[in-house]
Amino acid sequence: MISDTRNSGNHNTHYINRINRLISICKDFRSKCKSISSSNTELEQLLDERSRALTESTYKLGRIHSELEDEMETAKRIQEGLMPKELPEAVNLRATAIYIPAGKVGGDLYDIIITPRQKIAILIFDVSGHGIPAALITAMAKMLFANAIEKNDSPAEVFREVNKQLCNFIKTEQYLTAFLGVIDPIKNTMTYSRAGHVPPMVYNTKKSVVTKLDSKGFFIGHSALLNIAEYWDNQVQLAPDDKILFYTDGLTEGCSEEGKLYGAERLKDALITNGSLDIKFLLDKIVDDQAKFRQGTPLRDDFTLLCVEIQDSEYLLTDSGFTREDEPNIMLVYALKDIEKVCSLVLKELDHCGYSDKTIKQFKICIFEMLTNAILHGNKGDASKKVVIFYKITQISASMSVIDQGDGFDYNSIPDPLSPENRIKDHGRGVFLMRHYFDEIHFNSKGNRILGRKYHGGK
Amino acid sequence: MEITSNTTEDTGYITLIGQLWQKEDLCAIDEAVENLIQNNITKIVLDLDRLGFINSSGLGLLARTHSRITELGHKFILLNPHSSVLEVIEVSGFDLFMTIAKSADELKIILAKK
Repeated sequence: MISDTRNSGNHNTHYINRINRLISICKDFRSKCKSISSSNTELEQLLDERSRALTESTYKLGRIHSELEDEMETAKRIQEGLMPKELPEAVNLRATAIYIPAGKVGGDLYDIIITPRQKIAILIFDVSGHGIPAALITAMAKMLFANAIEKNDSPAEVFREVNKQLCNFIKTEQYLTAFLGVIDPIKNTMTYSRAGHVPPMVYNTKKSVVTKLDSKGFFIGHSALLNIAEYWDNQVQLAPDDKILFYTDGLTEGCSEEGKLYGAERLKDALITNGSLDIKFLLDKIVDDQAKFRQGTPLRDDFTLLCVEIQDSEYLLTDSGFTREDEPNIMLVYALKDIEKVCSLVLKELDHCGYSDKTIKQFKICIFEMLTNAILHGNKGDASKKVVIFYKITQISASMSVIDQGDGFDYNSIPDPLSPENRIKDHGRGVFLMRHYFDEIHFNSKGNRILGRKYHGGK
Repeated sequence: MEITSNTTEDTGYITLIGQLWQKEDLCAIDEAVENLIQNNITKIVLDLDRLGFINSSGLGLLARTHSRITELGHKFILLNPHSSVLEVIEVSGFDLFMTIAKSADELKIILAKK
């Protein structure tokens, strides 16, 4: 600080005061600068710490995201695994399906199940929402449907049962829409019920017309529907060459660039235009048509297409020795391993109709002989060839007809296995046993069909 | 099906449990019989007490085995077939040329005979 020691007057004092003030400001500035510098260092340290924490959090988030992605991918794979790998072949129908994912876990599922009553159940459903919850409900619903279909051929009854079960399990707002058709391969009818699902379309090849299988029915699985949901059975008569198209709404809700929906009418037109094609090509054409309509707009939802073609089974029925009025049960087998399944079904019915243990055991031998002959000798062990079984068990008689795809053989020229020279020959003993145990046995002229009958209280 | 084989002195026992109709079972029995023959067993007993089912393929095996063993001058005995299996054996006329022991005592007598 400068002091007024020279006493040079007021003017000087004024300057000295100003200088002193300036010095004071400078000092203050220096002190503040020091303080700012110190704060800067602290801030830099804080920034470093925050930056480190942020990097760590970003890394953790990335890892969680990656784990979630992996889990979603696994869920997607599990869900796709729930789709049947191969659709079972039935006597009078062929089926094919396409599932188009929308890049996330969806809730579509389809299934074809041959019921214990030898009806063909065709199921399609769509769980609301996406992601893990939808996948979990899909898996649960698949099991519940399979169990209910095993017990009942009435689609409405199946829906009631599954709704009751699912309502107890699903505690969220989710639900599913479903369509279940149960085809009687002898009557060529389909009994169906619709639970809020988009109605399938039946294309009649001869008339080139499409009929929508519309009917009433509530969604399934929403807890609010537990006591009010109702479902109804309807029936449609099918004809050979009819094609039934089942789908989920992800198909018709595909959007164009302008935001227009593909819609059921465009789908119907695509079905009429391509209806004469083989079912595999037909589905490809529909998928292409929808993709063309979308013009690259991403799918909002995954979708499923399932097409079933009804084939003529009249010739088989005629050949079986049964009539349509007999309403026989029908089954397909391909290999020896299938025999025990047939036995179990037929013998259970014999027991149910009050046949004696002895008769049941004798019938079992006949089933083994008929099917072994058809698979090993008729179809020469070729597992791609089928053996068609028709059977009818009543309280009066039990009849079974087995048709193979072989060239047939002369059942009258079979050696007598009782003759000593034929003892170690395998040929002929099976037919001998069948002739012995059946009350009636008939062969067709080609020799590839055998019909055996045993009467209640017969030999 | 379950197939077990054991021997006591000159007698071999093959026990069949389950259903006799599948090719792999027929082959396994053929093999068991052949092993016994190779080990100089001269009396072979097929224990059918717990065999619940037989079809024409199983009968064919019995016929071939009987032929193979008796041609060697050995003994082949069916032991205690279950009633439903016995019925098929009888219907096929096998009881006319095969030895069937319907109990363990009957088997002892048959085995003791020269």
